[in-house]
Amino acid sequence: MSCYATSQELSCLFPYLERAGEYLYARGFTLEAALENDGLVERALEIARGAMKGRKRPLFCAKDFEEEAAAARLALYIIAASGNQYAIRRFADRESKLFTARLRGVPGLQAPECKASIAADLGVRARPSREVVKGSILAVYFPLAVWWTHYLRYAPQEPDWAMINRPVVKGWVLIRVDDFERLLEEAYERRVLALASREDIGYISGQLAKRPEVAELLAELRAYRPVAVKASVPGAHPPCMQAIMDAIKRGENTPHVARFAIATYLLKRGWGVDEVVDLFRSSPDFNEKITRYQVQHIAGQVGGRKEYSVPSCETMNSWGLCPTNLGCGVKNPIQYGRRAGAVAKENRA
Amino acid sequence: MRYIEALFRDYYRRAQLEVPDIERREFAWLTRDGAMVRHRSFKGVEELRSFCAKEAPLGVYYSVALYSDPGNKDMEAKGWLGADLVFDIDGDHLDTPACRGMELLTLRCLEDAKEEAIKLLEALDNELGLAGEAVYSGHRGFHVHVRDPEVRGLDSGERRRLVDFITARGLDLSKFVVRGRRGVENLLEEAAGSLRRIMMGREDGNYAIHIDEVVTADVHRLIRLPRSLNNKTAFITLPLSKSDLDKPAEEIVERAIAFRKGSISVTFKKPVGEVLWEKINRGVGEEAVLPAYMAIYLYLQGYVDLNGVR
Ligand code: SF4
Repeated sequence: MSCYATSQELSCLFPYLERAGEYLYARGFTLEAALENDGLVERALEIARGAMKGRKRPLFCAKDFEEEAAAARLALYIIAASGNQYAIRRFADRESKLFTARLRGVPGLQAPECKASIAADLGVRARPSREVVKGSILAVYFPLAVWWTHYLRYAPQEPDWAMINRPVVKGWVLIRVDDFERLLEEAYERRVLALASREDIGYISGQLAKRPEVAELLAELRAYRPVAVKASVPGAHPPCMQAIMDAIKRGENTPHVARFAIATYLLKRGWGVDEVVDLFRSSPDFNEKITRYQVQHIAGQVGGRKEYSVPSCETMNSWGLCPTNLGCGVKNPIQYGRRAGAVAKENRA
Repeated sequence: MRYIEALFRDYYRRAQLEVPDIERREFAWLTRDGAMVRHRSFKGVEELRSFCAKEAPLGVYYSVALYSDPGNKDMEAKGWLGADLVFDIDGDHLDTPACRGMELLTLRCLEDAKEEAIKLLEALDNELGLAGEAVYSGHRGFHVHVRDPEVRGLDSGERRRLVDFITARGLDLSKFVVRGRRGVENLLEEAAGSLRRIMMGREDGNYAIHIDEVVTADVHRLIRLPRSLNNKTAFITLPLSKSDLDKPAEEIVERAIAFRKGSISVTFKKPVGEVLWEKINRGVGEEAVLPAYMAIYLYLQGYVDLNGVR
């Protein structure tokens, strides 16, 4: 292996890799054994609780590599046993972000060969680009090559990631190191989700419930719901935007254009990206990562770096999103509040 | 119609069908009264061939997908095992001067479709390392089949993203301009793989390969069986080798003609000008004696009534 890290250390850093599972198993960390180990169970509960509360796990593994790795796996099974999809997704999201931070930040993992070997564990075929395009400067700018089917499977579904915008040579998609890490993050997240839906999760639940403190957390987890939607911001919203917000809060699956419109609008009204993302949290198909990216994109923070403007009333109307049939006397929904303000001022005068 | 049926039957009596993984595929056919029968399976090519010789279906289709139980009517219970990757290039959908508004088949439009098929095969090889097999559809276009195990597991989302790649959707040329130690560099000049297609596309603004997007993304698609007869033309759906594609479209259609012998007297229901290599130039109500293949083609297209075989 081409990483400067021991098997124990790697297991601790990336506990959901296959090789971590195998290593732990070989070292005697079966589920039953783990549940007998008080310290390990306590740590697992801490990790599971921490993930729900948004507490960060440390970037580095300092000691007790094996126990930490086993505890992280146990934590995942506890979350999975709760059957609460919100909790499972949140956990997978946090662990995959930690994965990327470690992949980027731990010094012993920086060789392309090392990253490619971690990719292999996740089922992503990759190799250093210099082996694909010998002697080309492409390998300088895009040091890693991912097999195209795996690129299509794991690349975030965002315009920036369209495969046509990467050099693709004889089946190999050449990418930058940061893009490669991002792609592996997706693969790692799916690995966590796959482990959470193991066939024998029923059996695992049964074992877990034997420990009262675990059973207690399981009950808490079953009731876990994401933070409530932000109530509202001061100042009147135009009827169109109000209608979209209401629909979202009711958990309705709103059309893409409506989400786009409300995001541009709220950002212009001074909402932060986090607040807008929170608004979408109650959507049935909410995916934190995709939503965040899309909102950032609209805010002009990523991708084309162009901030999108709020669609005009005419556009809103053509999308079927104007309930007043252009009856507010403004050209753009963003002017609605201002105008209401202006009217108020006039009245005072 | 009875006459055409007899010809079809005769064709299938001698046809050399070839279907990889035949026992895993769903078959469908178009009956003489225009109904589509689906969810059938065959154990071997001989069974399929003799079925065709007996029933003389107007069109025969098979699934790009492989199933554990291909004859099952319930799509869920069919047991999807994977699917070939297929591309459909139809002259009818090409926006070239020769193809725009085309009704009856012209060789010029077929040439354009052929160019597109060549471009696709090159891109598959050069960019994705895939070997595609081209098939003349028996009408206005070409199909390309990829049976590589590599592609079988792609789901429809992944296929849709592959379509975006083939059609160059979302291409952003600025991604290939980088600032490095040697100043600003245009990586397109490396001309490797997909960069070559983009480089060449810069000259005419044509980065895309024009495929039917729905066909490629559909993992349950039924597609015309190679070596079967096309119900719209009575031409053979003809597998082509790489060198076949370098030949003029005229030669390809010539080889796809199933019924060469004899001529047929027809009466025109609609005016016909140029078709393939023939200048027919007849108006409504006029009669003519045409080569059998041409008469049948025009009949299937609804342009003539058949009067009698000569
Ligand atoms: S007129 Fe404009 S601001 Fe008023 S509801 Fe319609 S789109 Fe919204």
